[in-house]
Amino acid sequence: MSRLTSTRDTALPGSTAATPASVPAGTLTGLWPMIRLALRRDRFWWPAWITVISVQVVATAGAVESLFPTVQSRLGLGPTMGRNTSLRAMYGPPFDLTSAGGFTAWRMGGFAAVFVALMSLLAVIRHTRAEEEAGRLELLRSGVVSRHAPLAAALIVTIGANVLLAAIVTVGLISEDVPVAGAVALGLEFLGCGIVFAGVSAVTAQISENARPARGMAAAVLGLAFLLRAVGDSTESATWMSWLSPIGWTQQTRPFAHERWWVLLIPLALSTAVGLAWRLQRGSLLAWVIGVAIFAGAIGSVANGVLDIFKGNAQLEEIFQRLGGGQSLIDAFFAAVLPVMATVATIHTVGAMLRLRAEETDTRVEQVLGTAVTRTRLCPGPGARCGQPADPDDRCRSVSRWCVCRVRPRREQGMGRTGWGPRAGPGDVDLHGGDHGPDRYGARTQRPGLGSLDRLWCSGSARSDPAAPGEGSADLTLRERAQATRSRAGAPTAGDTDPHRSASDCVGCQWFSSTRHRLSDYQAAGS
Amino acid sequence: MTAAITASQLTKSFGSTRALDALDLEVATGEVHGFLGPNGAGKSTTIRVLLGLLHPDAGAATLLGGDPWHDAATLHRRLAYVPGDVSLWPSLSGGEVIDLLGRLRGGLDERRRKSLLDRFDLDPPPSV
Repeated sequence: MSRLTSTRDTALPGSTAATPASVPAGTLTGLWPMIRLALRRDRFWWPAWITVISVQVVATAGAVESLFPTVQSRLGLGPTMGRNTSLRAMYGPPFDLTSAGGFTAWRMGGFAAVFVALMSLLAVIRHTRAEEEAGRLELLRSGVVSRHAPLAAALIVTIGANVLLAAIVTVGLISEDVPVAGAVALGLEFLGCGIVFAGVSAVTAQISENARPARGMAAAVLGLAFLLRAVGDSTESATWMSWLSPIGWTQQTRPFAHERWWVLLIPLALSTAVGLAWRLQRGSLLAWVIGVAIFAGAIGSVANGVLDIFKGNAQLEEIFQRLGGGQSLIDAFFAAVLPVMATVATIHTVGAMLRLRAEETDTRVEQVLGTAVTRTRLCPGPGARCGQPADPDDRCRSVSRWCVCRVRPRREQGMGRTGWGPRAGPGDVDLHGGDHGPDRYGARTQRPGLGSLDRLWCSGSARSDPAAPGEGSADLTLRERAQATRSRAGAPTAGDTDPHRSASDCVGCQWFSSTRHRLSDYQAAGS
Repeated sequence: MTAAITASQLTKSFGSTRALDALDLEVATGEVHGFLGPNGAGKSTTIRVLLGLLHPDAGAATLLGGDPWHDAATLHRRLAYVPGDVSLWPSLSGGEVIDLLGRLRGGLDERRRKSLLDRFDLDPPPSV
């Protein structure tokens, strides 16, 4: 028989029971465990992003060698492509198109920088606001962790990953026989962008209450940065605009073309102080839409300029066709542009789909952490399950379709079945009496409480509960039904637990079609 | 006997919602105190103030003789917090979560960990 341990266990060996004054905690206590956690969680995320971005950049350098093997073939690129405003808007000002490195820096510098920025942005928010939303940050911070450690860990991991990416890009480019100084400059260009946007998203994570608006805001800043650069680079008179944009600055390091190293100091100085505090409307959809619309509009407007430069210039036509493919030149231009836009749109769509999944499987923290049970949120998208409180004065026709607050299991699979909450089924609370088995507190209730009337929802779950005589198909309001059942079932006894109040995991009701049954529905359907 | 937890006139509002309104609370050392209330009463808010996650608008709280806001990290060495509703990291195994939470408290006693796992009949996969 195991020895029962005393309830007054002494402190764990390895920790001291000293008074607070003798064990000072620094401002970054707990940093290392937080960093370890971030790396462990992201063990596939970082390799994926870093690999994709660096492969793209290095492959471009290799492709230039094979497409334009001789220096002669590249000589034409400079004057023809370089002066074109549309291409400058897309890619930035070309500083040296005759070398593989210079071409890569031109073609990939701006774009890859956008992706690096996106990677940093998403990572910082993932480890700050999104963790908090999931309720996990509270659990972490109840340990020996200082207030600033989570954010510091997020930034350290992000910046570290950016450094790694810059190193990989540099080494990869060097292996493609490009000048070392240029390769280093390009790597640092990406690092600068990544750092700036890690800072931007740290700020937006603080500004907004939820992860999604934080991501949306930071992404909108990124879109604006790209736009500013695009406009700045393509307009002769307004080149100052591209200096406003982090992407524009970093391009001005001019990798492979007499690098200007001092430009890299700008992101360093600003990386802790980006204070763009204009609040877009909450709702990451709006922010994404704005960002994508700006980008799309800009690209569309410069596309018209593409035709002009090609007129009468057969050599350039040939070059562009080899780069972009396709029959017409506008097509070739768009073929170069659309993948990027598609990626951006896909990011949002994938995010939206994952949010549907998250809504189903995660506890809604806002409802659980002590604030009053609020009305459940609107559906994030079509096809998701909504719970909407019903008006107690709504009329529901048939008994089987009314007012069940389903207490959902916390997860549909995995840990949800280990007893964290009542399962749908025996744990269902409905308005009819009966023994539903022990609830999670071990109490057996003979009749579950009704809770307050404002928590009655119309549920489409077709439980075929037998109607009480006289109650069957009368068009009573929900309130009347509730009262009828309450009186039929008898007044709740003192021993009742009120599942609505105590089951804080009641996230609302499911219905499988958008039904708030009104009398008129039934009359129209002829049921 | 000193109090393990005290709160006096603790006030906290979130925007226009007043979550805590001059709460007074005292829990003596060695006492088991049940802190109950319906949703919206401010239980979680109080706990968060005591954990140093929130700064009250007014009033003061002490925890184990220290200031929960400034001495949070040191005080947390001496307490354990089990949230009522926990989401854990889906990509971590049970063993890894236990190790993580133990690391955040300054270490786990291996023997005790093992005996508790046996007692609760848990068999988490070993951490990688």
